[in-house]
Amino acid sequence: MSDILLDVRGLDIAFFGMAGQRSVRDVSLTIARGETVSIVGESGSGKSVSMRAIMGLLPDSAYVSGSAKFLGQELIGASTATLRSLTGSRIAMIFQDPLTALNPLLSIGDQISEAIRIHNRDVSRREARERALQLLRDVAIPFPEKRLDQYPHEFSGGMRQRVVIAIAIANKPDLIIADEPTTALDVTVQAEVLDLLRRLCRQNGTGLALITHDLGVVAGMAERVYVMYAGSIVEAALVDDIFERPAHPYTRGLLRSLPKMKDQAKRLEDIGGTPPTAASLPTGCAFHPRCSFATDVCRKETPRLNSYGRSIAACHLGGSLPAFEKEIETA
Amino acid sequence: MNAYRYVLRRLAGLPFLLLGVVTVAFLLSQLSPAEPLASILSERQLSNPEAVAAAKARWGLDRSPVEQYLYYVKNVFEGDLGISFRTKQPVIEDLAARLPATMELVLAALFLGVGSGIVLGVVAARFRDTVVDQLVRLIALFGSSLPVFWSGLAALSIFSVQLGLLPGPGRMNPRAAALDPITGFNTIDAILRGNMASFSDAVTHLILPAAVLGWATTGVISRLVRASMLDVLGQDYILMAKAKGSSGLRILFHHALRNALLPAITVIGYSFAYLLTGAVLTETIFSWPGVGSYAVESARALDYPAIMGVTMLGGAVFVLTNLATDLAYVLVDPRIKLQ
Repeated sequence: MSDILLDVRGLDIAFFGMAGQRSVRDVSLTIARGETVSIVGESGSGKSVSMRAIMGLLPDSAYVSGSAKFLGQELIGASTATLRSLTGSRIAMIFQDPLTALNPLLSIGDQISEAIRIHNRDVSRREARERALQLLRDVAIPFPEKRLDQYPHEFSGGMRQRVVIAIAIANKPDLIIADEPTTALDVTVQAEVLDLLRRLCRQNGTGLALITHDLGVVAGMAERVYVMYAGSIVEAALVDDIFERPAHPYTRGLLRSLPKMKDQAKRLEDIGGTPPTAASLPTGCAFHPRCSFATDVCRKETPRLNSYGRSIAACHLGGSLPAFEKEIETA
Repeated sequence: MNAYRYVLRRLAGLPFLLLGVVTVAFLLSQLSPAEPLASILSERQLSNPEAVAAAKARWGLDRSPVEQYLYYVKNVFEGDLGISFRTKQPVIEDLAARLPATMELVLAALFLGVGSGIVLGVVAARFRDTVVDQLVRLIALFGSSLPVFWSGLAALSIFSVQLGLLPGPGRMNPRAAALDPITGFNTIDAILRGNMASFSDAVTHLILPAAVLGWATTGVISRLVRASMLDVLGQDYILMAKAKGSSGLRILFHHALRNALLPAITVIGYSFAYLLTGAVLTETIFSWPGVGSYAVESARALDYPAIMGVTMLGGAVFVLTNLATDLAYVLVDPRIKLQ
């Protein structure tokens, strides 16, 4: 099983002060070497929190249990030293907002070099600088020699995100966790940054966990998709199946709320209601108050993940849902 | 923009500010009901009209206030602050002789106050809402609220009289051989002369007044740095630094503290000016022969030229401190450019 990069099983996360309420419940997922997996869900569905927990980036008020094995090594409950040696070298993270993810007082060169030198003590300053320069070339930043000594405020949003990507790939990690990497960027820049990320991951054989709420991004990038709702995974499927044969009513709702080219005049559909918080989780299926198919069993019993063709989904009605009308034109 | 040109342009404003200070100080001296002749002449001479007329002519007191003002301003801009009624020395020489003592005290107080304030602020933020945090809060509270004339006496009583750890008031042991001044800073002069006995004498005399004077700064800076650190530690770039695999100490000092100190720079600059004024009380209690005690002695003697001189020195220090603060921002924060 050496091609399994990340193997998360039964991940539970609760925050101090929220007695018994878990923000993330029983999340299990795997990412293989070099694979791009997307984790989709609304804000607050637990996608970022789960990934941060794996990297040990949650505040002390978080209680994390379950298992997350990275190349066979357990990360949950691992010592600070172990986590520190892995984060930034074997597992890297790309944050959502490049405007705030870079330290305003340190030059770009310093911030890239730092990522290299933390994990390679024997690399000299000059060597690190040379490598930082090459990284700027790798992420296609023009005039890298000049840019190296500039500060974050002298870069545009897209360029800053390229710098953040350069930092992420500095140590050729096995896994990159990208948390909404293009959400804060202009639409025109989004595609460029995603292309870059895809190209770099392919080049280096890096696994990519792409956290997003944008199904357009999913379609263009991911091989497999996990859909999260209210702290749990409700569906896991190959990317084609997600768009062709969504098994969970929530996934269907997400797909319907995408704008469609053929009927632009129509008002966008949305999923009625709002997602629950960890403190106000309904009984039974967490999605039932917003689900048009909900029955009595949905209100009482929490559904388990079951197989439906090549997908798995947590829905009591799985097989008996009406066929999904394909209305999506994947970009 | 060129830094030199910026500094020169800012310094060009200094004379105008000093003119304002002179004008206000002069008006206040005219408004005060005290008779300057009383401090120039003895009581017996005051009843002698000839002596009074001679003194008036000698000190220019027979002219109209406007004439006196214009004459004084002209002298000031020629670098002449007049002759002290009390010491009969040019005020500018008195100030020059006493300024090093004050600067040594104030800089030591600033160093102790800002240094301990930053360390305590970082510690309080790191151990937020624990006993350590509360302890720092207490230290800050006492520092900001205890008046120097009380904490100074208490410190002397405890550390000098009862415990005998540190010497009493004064700048040096009066029985020791005097240092030949180079910079006027006793600690530095002692090192330059290679005189270790004098150095330890100067340092031990300096510790108590500097600590007492700097304590208020410790309070202000530690509270400010704590709040600022908590804000910075919640920023994305700190999480990013953590995701890079930075150690806790590196995150705290390399990434967080520099950002957290930005708002502190203004307060540090302001503290310097504040300490100079606070030095009046501290110098009096610790018999420190600096500008502060000179100001007190001059005020008691109604020595107008000396008081005006001290006032102007204070104004100049404020302007220069503001300039230094602005320049410090440019050095520390790449986002700020000279305009």
